[in-house]
Amino acid sequence: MRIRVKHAKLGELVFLSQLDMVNTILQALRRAKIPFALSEGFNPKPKISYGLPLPVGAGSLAEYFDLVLETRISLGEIRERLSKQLPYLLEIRDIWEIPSSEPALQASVSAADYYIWLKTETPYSDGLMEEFLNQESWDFVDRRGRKKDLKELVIKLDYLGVKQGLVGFKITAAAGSKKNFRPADFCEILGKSAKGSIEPPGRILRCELYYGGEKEQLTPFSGG
Amino acid sequence: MDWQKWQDLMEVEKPIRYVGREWNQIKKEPGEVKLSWALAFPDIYEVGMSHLGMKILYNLINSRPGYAAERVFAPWIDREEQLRKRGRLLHTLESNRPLHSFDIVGFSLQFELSYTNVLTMLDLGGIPLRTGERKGFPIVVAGGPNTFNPEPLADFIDCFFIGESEEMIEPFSEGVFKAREKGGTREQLLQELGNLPGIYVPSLYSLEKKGVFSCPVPGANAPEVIEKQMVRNFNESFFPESFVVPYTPAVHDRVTLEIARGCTRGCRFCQAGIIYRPVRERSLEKLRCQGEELLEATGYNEVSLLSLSTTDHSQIAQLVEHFSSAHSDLGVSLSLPSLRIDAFSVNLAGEVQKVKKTGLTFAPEAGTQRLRNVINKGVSEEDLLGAVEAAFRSGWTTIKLYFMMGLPTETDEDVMGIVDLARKVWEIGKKLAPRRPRITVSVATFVPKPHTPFQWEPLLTLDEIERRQKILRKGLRGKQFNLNWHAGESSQLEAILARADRQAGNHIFGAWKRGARFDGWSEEFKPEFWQELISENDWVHRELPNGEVFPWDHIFTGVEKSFLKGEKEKSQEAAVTLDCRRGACHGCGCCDNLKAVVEVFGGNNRADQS
Repeated sequence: MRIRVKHAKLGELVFLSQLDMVNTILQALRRAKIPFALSEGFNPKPKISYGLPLPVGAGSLAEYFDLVLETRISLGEIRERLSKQLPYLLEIRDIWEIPSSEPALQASVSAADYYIWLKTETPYSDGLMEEFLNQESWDFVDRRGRKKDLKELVIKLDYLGVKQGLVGFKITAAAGSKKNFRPADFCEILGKSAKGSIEPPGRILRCELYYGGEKEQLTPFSGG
Repeated sequence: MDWQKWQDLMEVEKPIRYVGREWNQIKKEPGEVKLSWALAFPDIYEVGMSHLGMKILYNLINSRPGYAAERVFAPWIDREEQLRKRGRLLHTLESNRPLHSFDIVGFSLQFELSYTNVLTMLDLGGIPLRTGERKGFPIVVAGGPNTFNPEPLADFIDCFFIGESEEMIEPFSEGVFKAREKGGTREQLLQELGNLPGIYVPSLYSLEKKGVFSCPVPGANAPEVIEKQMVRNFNESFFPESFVVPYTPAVHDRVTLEIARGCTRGCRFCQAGIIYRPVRERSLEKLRCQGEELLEATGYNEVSLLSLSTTDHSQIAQLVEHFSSAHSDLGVSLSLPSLRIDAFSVNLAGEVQKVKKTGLTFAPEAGTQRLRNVINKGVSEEDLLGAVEAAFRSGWTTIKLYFMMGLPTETDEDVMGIVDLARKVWEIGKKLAPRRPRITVSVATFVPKPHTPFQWEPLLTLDEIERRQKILRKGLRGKQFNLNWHAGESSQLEAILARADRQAGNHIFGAWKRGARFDGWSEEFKPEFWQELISENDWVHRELPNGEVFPWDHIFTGVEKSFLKGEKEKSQEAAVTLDCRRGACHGCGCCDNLKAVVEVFGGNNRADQS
């Protein structure tokens, strides 16, 4: 039986690394006595795989992992048993059975939704923000020293304005192994363009992952 | 989580260390707590969370209604800088309250080179460093093996717990609670606490210079001798029903079962062998239940059977059989630390690692038979080579060998003995191992410890340590050997702090002021901070006379000093003393003095005893 689980990652647990999170989930599965399948070989490992790793410090409402189980259990029972053994900051939000032919999450992720907030000390004039948002390109140098345009990766951007000293955005952008929008890059470019009136790091909340987008429509995984 | 906390945590390495909220964390309602403990471990989270003593005390204290125990670990250097820069205090993981707001702050002292971290934690916790300046602040206590020479930290710790702290938690907490109800001064309270069994309150003692050391002399109402406290009926004694499960892997991340406490093999360098006497075991039945319960509560997939000498447990074969089969369908595996050196133990380990054969570790400690007899390590070359042969035959390829260098009476021949032994092991491996074998040789410098037969012995000088390490490096060249050793300066500091008197307190403070932190971490250790202490304590490189009065002579392990002296004399003749669990009593005095008994189960089930 192959299942796909969607869960949150919130509060202080945003500081879990991807590896820590996998271990935490496995421990909860063991406590819940959910019999996950192990790989063959000298060093048997659980068959668990995540979609898109989340940077340490970022929260999420849409972490997805796939897991192979040894035996059939009803989805309701899995959800109930696992929920009891999982910290509430990693709350399970949904669970499906998926066919074994379903492509791996990692290979099919194409986009993600992010909320991004940054601290702003001085009132940021809407005119300045407009100028930034309307720039032809957002050029930057990535971690490997390559010149890139971040704007190319943005599919949709909503500016949420300034509230309680925080400037907010909701961004849908390319995600995955081929093209990947890093919210931290966005914060850095914005910080530079705002000349000190907006301060990175930004706080990030991922709220959905999508597949498709090229030929077919961009579809959220939670669509089932 | 507010923005500032998030931003603080974003700036430091491994923020998850400072977050808490783990599975099985115990958080009590403030209203129900009448007495609060902060359990402080003077090393990073990952190290402290591996320590079984912390787990036992945390759950024990929290099991009592009205008492709360919370955890706090030493902040890494980046975190300390941040706390200071932003003017924040060090707080516990459970309630986020600073240390100064607790009733009792209890440190676990496992290692001399963590002493400066104790000062860091007090200071960052908002507690004055010196015991005399703490009016209106928590009572600061310390437990663990290092309290068997409490003097180096006597300026900073109000009360030391001598022996197994489980036994003292209740009367001590009760004492502090009642005193607070009653009112009265801090001095009166310390006076009362200092008369509880096993509690040493250094401020009740004045100092008198005797020979090399300044030794404590009891004041009017202070006990002359503080006798260690120990758990009796170990089988039935408290053990946690759950462990806090860290989000990030601790050094040891598994269900640890304490199968026995104490070891009477009598290695003459070993302090644990003296201070945890006599041997007490837990039964197969008990351990099965505890294992079951803890696997269920934690979700771990590994069980470790812990004791000073795991394969000496009288029911070890059944234990291994049970834990390597009972849960294997769930992917639960078993690990055995501290293997004794013989084919029996290797075969046992073979049971455990039926599939995956990771490394196997043996500790012959010395390179020649003569020197192994001097230290009373009851192992022959035949035992070792037999064990190694069995290991290679059953598929292991990586063997780790632990040795000590600079043991009493050691000559260059003995040092070369380490080289010869490692080469012999390699030769056997070349013939029998399925792949090219790898031999790791770890050579620590021998550090004389209080309450051992070697407490009078010298530490090698730095030059001599260096010279003997060169012999090893020359002898164990080649890719097949991986040689590890310790920096001489670090052993020198450990040796001084292990046997130092109360005068060392000022030097610890000075080194800490100059910036000493995490001295046990080789990349952080800076000998230049410690030059004054080192130059004032050159006795560490001399043999001390038989009549020397030690600053820990008022701390009583139950073992007579005359027995230790006798063992020292026997060591000079390379004469061995057998394990008393199997044969005659050697009159160390422990059982008589403490009115204790050896607690062993299962009778003669050991394969090598029949």
